[in-house]
Amino acid sequence: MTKLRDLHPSHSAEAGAEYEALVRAAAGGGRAAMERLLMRVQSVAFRFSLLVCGDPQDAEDVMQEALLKTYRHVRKIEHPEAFRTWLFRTVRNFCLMKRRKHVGEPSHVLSLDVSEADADGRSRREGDRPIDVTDGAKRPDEQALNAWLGRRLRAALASLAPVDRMIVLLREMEGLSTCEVAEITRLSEDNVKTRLHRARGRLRALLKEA
Amino acid sequence: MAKRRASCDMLIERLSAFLDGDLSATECARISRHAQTCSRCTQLTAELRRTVGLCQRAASTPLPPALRRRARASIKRLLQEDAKAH
Ligand SMILES: [Zn+2]
Repeated sequence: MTKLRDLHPSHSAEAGAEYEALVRAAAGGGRAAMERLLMRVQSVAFRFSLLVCGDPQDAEDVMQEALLKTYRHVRKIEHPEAFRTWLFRTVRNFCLMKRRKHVGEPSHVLSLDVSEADADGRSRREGDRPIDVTDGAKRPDEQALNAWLGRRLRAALASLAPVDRMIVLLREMEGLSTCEVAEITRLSEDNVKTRLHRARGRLRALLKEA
Repeated sequence: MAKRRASCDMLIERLSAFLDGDLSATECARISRHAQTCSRCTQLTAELRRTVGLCQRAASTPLPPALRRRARASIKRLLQEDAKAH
């Protein structure tokens, strides 16, 4: 049983300190530190957005938005110790805006390319896309995403309520403390604990044969 | 038998708190003792361990290559544009 706890280390303080050091180095003008920080931020933003909101193209947009916002934020940062909570709150807000935007969209927007339509038939205007500097905006491909995170894990997470997905992601995957998760989700700590307990049980049941 | 059921429920109910280190030493000891004698709960904890491991692995895997290339290109472009502006 003690082993069980070893396998779930609350890296919270450690990872928080690591972010803080990186943020300080980047804010102080270190280019390599800035590049490392921005890479990590994009990775975190994409994973969060994909797993919580489910849409790969939205997740890539959120990744871009998080990149720009972080770059501006870090150069005038006053509380590097609060960076991680700031980052997840920011990413969470970007995700919420994406969802609202979809709700406000006409239900059938014609798309020129069938592959541009989402799995549920919802399509997307070209003008909504961020400009891609490399090889033309490519929709992240489902196979690569499943190979990355595991199809079963994605499906299991998708069966949870969005707020529970967020809690699992922040707590289990990103290693934030209950207190930090409560701050980001605006729930009480007790509520976070109860929801996490339930979500863990559900994921266990869904993934036990994996 | 009834006692066994009750201690299983106790373990299931406290497992999250146990994982998060929120329990007193006495409660931890009770849970460990129970898990050593109950195969159902031993299996349950093993499954939970696997679930947690799966989540952690997902968190530490780098972005897929194509996405990583786009992310790197965005950083490069941002830093170049900013250098030009100053
Ligand atoms: Zn038991």
